[in-house]
Amino acid sequence: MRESVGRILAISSLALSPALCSAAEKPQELQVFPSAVRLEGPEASHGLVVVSVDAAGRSRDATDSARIRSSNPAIFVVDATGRLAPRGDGKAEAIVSIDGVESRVSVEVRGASLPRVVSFRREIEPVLTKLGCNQGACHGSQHGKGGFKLSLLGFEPEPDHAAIVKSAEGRRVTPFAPAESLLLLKPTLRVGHGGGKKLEPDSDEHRLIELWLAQGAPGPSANEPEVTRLSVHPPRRRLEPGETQRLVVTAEFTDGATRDVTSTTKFDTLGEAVATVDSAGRVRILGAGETNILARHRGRAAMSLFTVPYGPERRFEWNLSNPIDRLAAAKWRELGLAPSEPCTDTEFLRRAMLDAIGTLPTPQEIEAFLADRSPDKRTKIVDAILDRPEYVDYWTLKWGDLLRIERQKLGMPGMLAFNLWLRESFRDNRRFDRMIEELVTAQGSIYSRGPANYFRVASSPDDLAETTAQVFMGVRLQCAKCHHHPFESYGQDDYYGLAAYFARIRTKNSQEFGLFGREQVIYTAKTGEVRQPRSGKVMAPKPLSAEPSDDPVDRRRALARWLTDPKNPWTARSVANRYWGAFFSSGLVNPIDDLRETNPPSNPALLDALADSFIASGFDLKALMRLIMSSRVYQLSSIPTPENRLDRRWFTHYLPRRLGAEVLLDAVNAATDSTEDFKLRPDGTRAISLPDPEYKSTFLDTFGRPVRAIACECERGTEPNLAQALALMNSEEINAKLAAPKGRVARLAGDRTIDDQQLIRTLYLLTFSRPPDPEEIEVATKAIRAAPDRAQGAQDLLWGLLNSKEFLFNH
Amino acid sequence: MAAMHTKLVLATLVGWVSLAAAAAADDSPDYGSDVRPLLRARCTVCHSEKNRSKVEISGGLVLDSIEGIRRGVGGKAVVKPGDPGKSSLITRLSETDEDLRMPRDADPLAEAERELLRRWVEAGLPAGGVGGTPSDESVEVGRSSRPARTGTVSISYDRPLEKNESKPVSGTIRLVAAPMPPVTALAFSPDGGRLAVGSHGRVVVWDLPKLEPAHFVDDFPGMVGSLLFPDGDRLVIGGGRPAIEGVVEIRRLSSGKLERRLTGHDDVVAAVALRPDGRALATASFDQTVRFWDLTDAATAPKVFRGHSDFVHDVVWMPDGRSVLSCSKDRSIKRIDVESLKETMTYSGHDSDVLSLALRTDGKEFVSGGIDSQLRIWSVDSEKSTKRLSGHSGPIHQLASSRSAGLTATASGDGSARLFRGDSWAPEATIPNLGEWQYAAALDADGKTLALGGWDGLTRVWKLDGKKQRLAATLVQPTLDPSKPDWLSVAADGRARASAVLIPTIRRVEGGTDVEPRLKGE
Repeated sequence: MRESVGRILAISSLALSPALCSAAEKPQELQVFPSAVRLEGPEASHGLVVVSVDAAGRSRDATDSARIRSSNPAIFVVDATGRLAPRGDGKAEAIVSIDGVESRVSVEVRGASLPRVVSFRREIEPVLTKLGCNQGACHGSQHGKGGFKLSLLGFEPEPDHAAIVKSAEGRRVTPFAPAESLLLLKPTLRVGHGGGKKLEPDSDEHRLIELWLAQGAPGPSANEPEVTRLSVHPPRRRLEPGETQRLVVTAEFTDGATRDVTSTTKFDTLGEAVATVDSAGRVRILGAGETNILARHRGRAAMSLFTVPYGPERRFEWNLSNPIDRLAAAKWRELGLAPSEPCTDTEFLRRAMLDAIGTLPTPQEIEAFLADRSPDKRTKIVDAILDRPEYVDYWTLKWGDLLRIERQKLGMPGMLAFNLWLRESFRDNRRFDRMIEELVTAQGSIYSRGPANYFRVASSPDDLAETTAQVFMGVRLQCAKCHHHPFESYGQDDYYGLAAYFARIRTKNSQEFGLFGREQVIYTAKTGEVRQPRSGKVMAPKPLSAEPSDDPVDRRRALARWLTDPKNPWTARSVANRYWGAFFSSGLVNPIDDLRETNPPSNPALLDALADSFIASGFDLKALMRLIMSSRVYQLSSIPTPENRLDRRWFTHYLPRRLGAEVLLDAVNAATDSTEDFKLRPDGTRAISLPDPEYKSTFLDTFGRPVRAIACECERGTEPNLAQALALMNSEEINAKLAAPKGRVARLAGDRTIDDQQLIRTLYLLTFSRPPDPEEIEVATKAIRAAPDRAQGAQDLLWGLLNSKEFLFNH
Repeated sequence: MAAMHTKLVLATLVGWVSLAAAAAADDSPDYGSDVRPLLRARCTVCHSEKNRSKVEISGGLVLDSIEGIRRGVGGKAVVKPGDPGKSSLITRLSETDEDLRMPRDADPLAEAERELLRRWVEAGLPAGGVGGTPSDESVEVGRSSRPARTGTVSISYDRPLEKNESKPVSGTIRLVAAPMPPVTALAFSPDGGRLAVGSHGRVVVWDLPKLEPAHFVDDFPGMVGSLLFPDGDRLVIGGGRPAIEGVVEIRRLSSGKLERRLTGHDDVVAAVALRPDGRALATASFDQTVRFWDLTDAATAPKVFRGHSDFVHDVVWMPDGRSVLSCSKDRSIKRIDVESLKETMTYSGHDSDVLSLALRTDGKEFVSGGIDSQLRIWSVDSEKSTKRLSGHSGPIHQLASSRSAGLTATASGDGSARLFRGDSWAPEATIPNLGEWQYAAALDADGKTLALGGWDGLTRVWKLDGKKQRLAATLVQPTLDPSKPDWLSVAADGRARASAVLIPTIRRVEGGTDVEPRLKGE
């Protein structure tokens, strides 16, 4: 019944749409952004964005066609470009109208009659940034360019002012004759300029710099207001390909003033396939999806969200008990997406085991799972999988990569101690906050206290700050070491404030004798500070974006408290995102360890919900995995529908990915019933259980095993290459496994109690983790019978299966 | 059929050629107004005189002057005037092989741009109205668009007590003239009676006893980087327009005559030094070269030293007149043998720009200062400095010596100045922070008077008496209207004199209220 109503509605709206299109000209309502304007100072002016909404609810950018009037021209006027410019202090209204439809915006003017003084910090620096003068490739580079050095992106007004105005005997400016200043002659190419033409002589930027020079090129003063917040108007829009939208950016300052900074804001799109934006802030929609437009000004950033539906909203019925399903589905409805079908039982079992324990199911496990008729068998198997010993191997491997556990740096005993600690942690399902605390406050012998090795992997306060931020919070702090982060609110003070927690870590050699004697011992000294190199100031230990905190015994305890505080905005979200990425091939935020305001999640509510649930569970990693694996989203087929095939961000279908090096090698061995011979490791040792990458294996290296040199999941190679194809197709290693006299094929083929069909079924279960379909059986049977002998036929079949995507990929 | 096509094409070509020829006759592009802007936008970032010796950038080809274009590279011409098809300057623009096509690693020139260059070569490289050297720059250093200067300049003084006064009186002389051009060069006359003060476009020679100008030079092109006042009549002015040209002028003050004009530097001349025998001049320029000019022979081209890789800030002669020391933004100090133009010594140790040099009287040691705010003492025979003197907290822009008095003075970006004994380098005295960057310093011959000039456009004259020093006067040359000489001098006791044009604009404030200005005019 409901469906038929829906269909009728759909038909009628289709029929009506041409009529609606012509009616779209006539607005029903005008939305004006921002909803209130304050003009501070004589130079202030502010633009408006007008969105008209027609009777059908369709909206478009009507800024250019709107008429804007001032209710009181003595307070402000509207200039030729539609901007509001102050005339006298007081309050008035801007009256916006199109075809008789009106909307009003309150306008408050203050300081209109104050003298106009150009601010270097607030007006000139943003112009230099917008023109690109101080970018990394130009004068913002470490040594400047052509003898002229500016701070990168203009975060240091004092030295920049000196460089422009006073250095080189003041050759760059002639404030007493501003237009002759080299500062203007060069970028307009009236004299040669290595950077080419950057500035038009007849431009607002040129006039502003000239005015500033004429005022004597005043420098930055210490008490000048700084930007505290940016807002982009409109904050979000729902549009269709081909449509455009203009943006206006307002900055709020420490003194409470607000200003339109659109002309000195840098705009970037975060999704080039969805929308582009030009330097004036005009957005053009290209394709379906969702993207943020990033607006940057003086180290602050804000975003405007553009949603471009893939199609009309699609109907699907879901049991929404799992918050993942509820929030993913909400996003799909916004975007006009619908999920693929659920995956099959065998796909689920294979996927769940590969993702959670890096292990293929055995034929017996598959048969048992298929035979199980209970409705909650998927939930039950998730619990069973997470309790298996391979769980410890697999997550020790993954976290070992991130913590960079390897013997070159730690020595064999240190490496093993660190590895053992990780294994214990996962075996006991230790709370993750506890693991963080044990790591960042570790001390003692690196041979007997595993976590103490954390301070050997990275040893300087700088390295430790970077590693800690990246591994536990997904924050890439490296750029703040030398300059203010170009998008985010942190700078060198924050970097060295975090480093200060590690200022007192020292190592000494133990006094013990014997096999493990003379080893390094990590301890905390009573003194030691970190200086911010540019200001020379001693930094008090201070977490990112939080008040300084210290601890009388060990600074690191204060850091651990902050890292594991449920209110920490990063830790839980970072873990949730990493684990989501481990199960879905792609994070909610990508790169997976780059959480920042300017790199928002594809589904923010979903990441928040995962993080909240992780905190509520007591930082229980298995609970997080259970939540993910029992969601219907996780159990979707990897086969897309024609409607959702373009989606790669909202998980409407499972995204296949190649098995990791260690998992793949184990899978090949399991299928061929062979083992690896790792030096000093017992026969049958699985690749996922190796404690570090220092075990020689061409196969593992070919398939991208990381050497654990950097604290980033990106070190693991995922790119396909020819060597991989050759290794699988005709390496001696694989051929030997296939043809081993006591190997899988030899045993199966030699066992006359097993008929061809059973043989084929077994090989499919061993590789594709599913029974073959009748057609596959027929083809395979023919092939085996056509072979010189059954063993060779079976070898060829298994070779073919191992070289198939269905084996090589988790899907 | 094919033949007909060919004919048609030929006819069209002939048509084009004649059209082009007609266009060339009427309106052929010239270097100054058409070609140079294009070359500047697309070619001369690499192919510049500055980069000539950096073959990895320029390939040795120079395109920022007609001479450079005619010269070609390695004895091979890149243009055959009248024959664009045989001119590689033109053909290289249309190469299909991207490794050969110019500009390298950039978008090719637009069709219209290539056509413009082609026509220019075809027309025989006409120079047009502005000639062919970089010094004949089309950029007009216009003096018309000067804005009103609205900032207030204040000069303080302490007036001696008059009748009926019981407390000492402090006052200020104020005029609306800021921002003023910075004072960038100073030089005393040999007798110490006059002081030449250089600022943008102007040099004022002050009569110090009278505290009024004796001479004006107000048509110097661009900034004044350096001044010499060798015999009391001749004034040597080095300077120029940034990134456009460097100029040295030798003027006779008595006759007002321009005796000689040395051109060829491509950027501001930062320093000039007269050989001890007075017969040759060394000039250091932001164009990265040091040039040596024979003053006895105007016909001979200067020798050019190109061993520095960045702005050259200062140059001083060794007492024997055979070699000089030069210092540069490239962080090095070099000793150059003038005859061979060989670098005979490189003094390294500064870790940032070296801005100034001064030689000890005996010529055996010298001192250097720069951005790193430390003075370094060097033996001329050793590559490593022997001593460092700290004390300044900003760049040391200039070092001035009075060899006969054995004194050396600094002018620093920290606003202060310091005096050292010129033999032992022992600190002698400090002029505390004057509130603005000090760019220029000069000492008179007997070491009794120090002049300092700064970014604020003020020149301060100090009387030195051993370790004591006292401000004697402040000199101002606002150049509000370049066509009219304007000036103001304020003695330490508040007595003030000014040019007639300025007098009505000057206020005197004592005890917070305006008082009678009490100015003496010209």
